Amino acid sequence: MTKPKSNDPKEMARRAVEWFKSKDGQNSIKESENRVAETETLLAKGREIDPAKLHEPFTV
Amino acid sequence: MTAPAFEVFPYSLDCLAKLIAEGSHNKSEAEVRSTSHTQYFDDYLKTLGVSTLLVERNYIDRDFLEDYAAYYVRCFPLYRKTCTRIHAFRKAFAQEDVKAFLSGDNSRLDVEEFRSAYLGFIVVKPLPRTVIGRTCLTTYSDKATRYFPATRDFDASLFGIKLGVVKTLPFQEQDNVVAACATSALWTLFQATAREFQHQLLTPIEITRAATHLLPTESRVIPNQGLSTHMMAHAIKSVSLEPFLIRVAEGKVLHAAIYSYVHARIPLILGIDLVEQKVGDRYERMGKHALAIVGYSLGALPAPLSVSGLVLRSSRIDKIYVHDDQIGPFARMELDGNRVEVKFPGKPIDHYDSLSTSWKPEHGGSDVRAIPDILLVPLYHKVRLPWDWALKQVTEFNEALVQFSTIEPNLQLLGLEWDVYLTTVNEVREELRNSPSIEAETRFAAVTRAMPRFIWRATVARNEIPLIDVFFDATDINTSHGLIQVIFHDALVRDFIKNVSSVASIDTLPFERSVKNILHWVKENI
Repeated sequence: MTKPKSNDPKEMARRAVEWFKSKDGQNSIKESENRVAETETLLAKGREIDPAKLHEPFTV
Repeated sequence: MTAPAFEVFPYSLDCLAKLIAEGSHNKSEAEVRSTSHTQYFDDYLKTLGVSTLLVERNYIDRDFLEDYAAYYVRCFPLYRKTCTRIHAFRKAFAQEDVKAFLSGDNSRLDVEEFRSAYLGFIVVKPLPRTVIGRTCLTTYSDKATRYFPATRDFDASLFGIKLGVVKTLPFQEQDNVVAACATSALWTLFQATAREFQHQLLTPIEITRAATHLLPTESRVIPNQGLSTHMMAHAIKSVSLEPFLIRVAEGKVLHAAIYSYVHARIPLILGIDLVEQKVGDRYERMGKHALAIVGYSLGALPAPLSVSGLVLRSSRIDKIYVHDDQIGPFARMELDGNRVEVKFPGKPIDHYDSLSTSWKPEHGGSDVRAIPDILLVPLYHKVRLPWDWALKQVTEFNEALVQFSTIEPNLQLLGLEWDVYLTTVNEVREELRNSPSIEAETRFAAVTRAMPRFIWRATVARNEIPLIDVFFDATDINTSHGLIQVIFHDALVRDFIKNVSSVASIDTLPFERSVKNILHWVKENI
């Protein structure tokens, strides 16, 4: 029978830090980095100003 | 015979049209009735529950007087310099009641009731066609999902009677002479930012002059044919604010950017392409139009920003409320997620995110929609770090929380919702002081900590219950971490993150620099 995981914050933190060093943890971090990059690409769309449009008048 | 200084009428569309026509320069009642403004005001006033109109004649309106002095006074036809102001009340009363009160008899009119029934006013300009001047009408009645952060208290008086305070933001129609749509939108913006950031309040003619002081050099600017983004940015700089331009063709960017700034009581210019449905599902361009965004509705279900699963509160925006000078104040535009097929001149047919509008088709089409293009944000010069910088920090921290929850599901840090917006130190202190979920000692430390005037606040919540508050310095430089403080509302999450920051060397952990900064702060301060 598997021993239930401790809910002690210190124990939980230790397990998390160990997991980040593991292969699974490293893979998970890599996926996370890809997701961050994708969000940054989306946010960067707000900066894609077309200079030609800056001089078009709003006439309606 | 001279018309009386004021008159009182029971509300009806006929009465409204008659009063607007009377205040204009020879515009007929039939013409007035046929305008979209009159239809819009009739619907709006009925929704507010108006029952009485009081018309005030020979009203001096500062904005019109400046336009008059700059242009209309030199026209050959004789235009009046005074306006007509139509006040709206939700209570019924008679002209004799007001007359008695103004004569010193207080027995016929309960003045407190009179004030509390006040809904605002519409100024009618004595011009031939474009007659709607400064208009201050209260917002739609409260509904849990509607927010009008950019509104302020505006008061009015009538022959010395203080009529009451209306929470609104002034609106007016472009006159096509000294002002175009962008001028009217800027004028609305400045009504809010002049109070927020203490700058000079410009009239429409002053805005047009400030916008076109250097541009264009090749043609006259009055009568005004329309301002460009470049010119609007010039006008914003003329009142010592900084224009910040965001491209919002992507719907999710539009949601997040609107929420980030309007929440901070800053109205925004939205530049759109109006498109009309022509053949089948195809839309064609009507022209470029500028509006002022003054509020939003959070009626939609939250949705992730991207594959990261980051859920922002801004994703709940399902409608925005705009001052559209061709429609009216607080006009609703729905962000219904519809993408439309548009043929722009010189471009191949493509599909674009769009918003609904209250515009009527003008060329035989069946629908008019808006393709969002740009947002122009008028910022105080010290607000240096923008919305996308704040969201980048939040994205990285949210990913760290996802990682924590992957290995420790009991933390329940998946599917959280982030509320990210610009705010001020005074608001932050007021809100923290009244936050019951923070321990008293932590609250005291948080409230008394030195903080800059402008702050990006990011609150993450689980089922609407706040878990963590992260505060960033909006006045910092973008190469800095900008972190001011972190406040935990959940003890397990706090203790876990504190232990992560102490059981290992933070700099060896596989996190982005922004997350490491948070861990360092927690290690040193909690």
